[in-house]
Amino acid sequence: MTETPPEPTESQALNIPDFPKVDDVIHLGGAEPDADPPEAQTCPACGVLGSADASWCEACGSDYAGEHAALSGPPCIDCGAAHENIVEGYCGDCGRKQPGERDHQAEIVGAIVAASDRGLRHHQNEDSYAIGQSGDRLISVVCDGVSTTNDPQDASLAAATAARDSLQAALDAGDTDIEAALVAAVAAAQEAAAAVPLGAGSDGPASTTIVASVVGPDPSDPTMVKSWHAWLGDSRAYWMQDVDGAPTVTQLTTDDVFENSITRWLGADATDTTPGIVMGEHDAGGQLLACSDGLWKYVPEEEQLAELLKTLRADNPDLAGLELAQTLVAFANEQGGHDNTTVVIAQL
Amino acid sequence: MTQFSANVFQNEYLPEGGNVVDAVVTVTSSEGESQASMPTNVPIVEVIAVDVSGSMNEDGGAKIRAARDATIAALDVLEPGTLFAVIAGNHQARALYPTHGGLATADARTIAEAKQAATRIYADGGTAIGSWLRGATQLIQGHRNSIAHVILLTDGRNEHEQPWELDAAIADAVGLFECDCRGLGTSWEPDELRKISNALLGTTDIIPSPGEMEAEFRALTQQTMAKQVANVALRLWTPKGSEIQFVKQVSPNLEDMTNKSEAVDALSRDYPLGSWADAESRDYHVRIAIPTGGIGDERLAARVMLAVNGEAEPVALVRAIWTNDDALSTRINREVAHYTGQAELADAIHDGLAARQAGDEKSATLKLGRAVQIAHEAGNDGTVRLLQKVVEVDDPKTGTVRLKRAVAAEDEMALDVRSTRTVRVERKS
Repeated sequence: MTETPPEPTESQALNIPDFPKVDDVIHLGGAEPDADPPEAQTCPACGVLGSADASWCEACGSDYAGEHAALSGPPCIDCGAAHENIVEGYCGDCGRKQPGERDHQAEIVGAIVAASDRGLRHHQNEDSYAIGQSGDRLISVVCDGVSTTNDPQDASLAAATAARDSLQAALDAGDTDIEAALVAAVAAAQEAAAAVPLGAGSDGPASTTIVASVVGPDPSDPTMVKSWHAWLGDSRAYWMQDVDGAPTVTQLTTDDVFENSITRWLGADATDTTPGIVMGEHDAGGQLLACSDGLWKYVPEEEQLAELLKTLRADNPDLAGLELAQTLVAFANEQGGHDNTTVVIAQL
Repeated sequence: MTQFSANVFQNEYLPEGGNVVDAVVTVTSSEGESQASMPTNVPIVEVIAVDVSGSMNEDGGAKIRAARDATIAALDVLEPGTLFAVIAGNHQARALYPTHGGLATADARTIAEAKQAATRIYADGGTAIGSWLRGATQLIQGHRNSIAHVILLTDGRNEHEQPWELDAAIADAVGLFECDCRGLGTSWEPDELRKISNALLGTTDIIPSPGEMEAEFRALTQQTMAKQVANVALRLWTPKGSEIQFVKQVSPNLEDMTNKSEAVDALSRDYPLGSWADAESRDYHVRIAIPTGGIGDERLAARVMLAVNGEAEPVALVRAIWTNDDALSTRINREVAHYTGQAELADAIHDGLAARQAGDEKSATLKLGRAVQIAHEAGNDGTVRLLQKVVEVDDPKTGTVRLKRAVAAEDEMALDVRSTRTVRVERKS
């Protein structure tokens, strides 16, 4: 994550076969994605409906083509060996590591959505996110594990989960001091990240960035929205709003970066864990965008991100929610996917 | 029950198109939690095959007296219950004890009888080492589920049988027993004994003078007494389309195991590691060529398992991850580099001594100088000391040496047979 940003190249029509389509997403309730539902097919073995382009049944594991009577899962992504040949995540024929649970993720909680992807250059996804909702307030946490440390994927997951859980508890309990709740959430995240075991590698202790946000309507003015953000490192929060029908973008956080390296982080060797704090007041109808540098390194300036949104909207005027989050992730992969990419979008 | 664990040392990152994976696997045995249902009472067999050819009468009888004393010393450290025999070998093998053609079970009476028999060792006749191995095979072949070990001592070359007879005797013994070979003095042929010990998973070393024989026999026997588990194998699963380029034991000494494997299935091979005591640790260097992958892909290059009597337990993974980050793919793993250096050291010594014997002083000086340099860098002090008996070292850092004019035959031979001894990477605490 501290790697030099690659020169933005011309967007190529890159085929990303294992990137999840909206239809594959696990829905946790709330809004449905905007895409048309796919045609379904019925599993000949158990009768459960599956998507039209699936080759095997997620319910019973049968192969729709009938070549294998009862597959327990997908075949090897590399050589196509049957799922039974996959041992502890590696193909027993060609040795290829199979996609991890965290390689391609997507989640919807009410009006907040998240997409996270391994990208094309890293062998695992070291980003994590955690999202939540408490009444009419939305909670977003994005963490980016520092890839030059041991087991950064554990630090990012522990930190994101701890921060979200802390905020969820505070908001559910009716806390009104959101800034204090964010400070407490980052402290909980630091404790969780620092507790990650050192592991076997020769690098330093696991560390991660964090950007934690709470957004919700202003109780005293229904035309306004308030947001609070706390961060360490270079994961960012933006506010996206249409002005005269054109997307505009405002960066809310300030990167903790000096000469391409982050200056603050969470983890056992962190020295400064007092987060940057910022509050925003916005017109209703905008969106929070929180992301790791896997996205923003390709569009570092506000205007570039706004231009990207405009271009994407030209192709699909209704682009929003999870589809927008996944499209931004796909954009990062089309640019080369040099890093893990995580995008959270909250619609207010 | 002895338990095994393994650590893998490697740089798992390969550049685009890269397909060769190097890894050092450290295998460690430990005394596992005892399970009542699986007691550790594998019988141990120790056969002492001692040279009684006519040349053992040289040195005013010092060699044959040392052979008696060393055999008695070995008998003294046998644990009660050990199955044992003493073979007197010259141009044929003779069962010195027991004389009935089988193995004796060690107890106060049998050990006393065997020691009495050992005092009657006398020397005459020729040398046919294959016949000694055949004798040991006859004694041991009825005890296949044991931990069987042979101490083989000779002071001369295998002059009284054809080379193919020795080869056949070795082939018959493979998998039946392990054999440590010792050459007394300097009239034996290192390549002959190395051929035996390499095939029979043992070591070859020089006993420069008769006075050192007793301690060596005692130490070898004690090593056998400590063994807990036999028929251990390093099992490597490698992906379809890959090629295991080599498997070498690299610590405690270098042994190429590449051609000793047996196929288990289409993708797995067993490399025999012989018998183990508890709390042993050995290092292996494996090099595998695998089908290349795309940037960001990860492929398993090998799944390392330890098989005991055919039952395999996975212990470690050797991985390959393709990256376009040169900083990652060009990293050199310390352990791999260290043992690559130790192998180069052994080669430099071998080539240097060969050049010296051929009278090519320039080449010998260069090779042995390089050996001094590597041994010095790696902290292999034992090898530096052996080299210093053959060359004057002017500067170990640059490998600047001069050949010594007068070198004792036993020093040159010791350097030859001990050149494969390695040291481990010094780990910073």
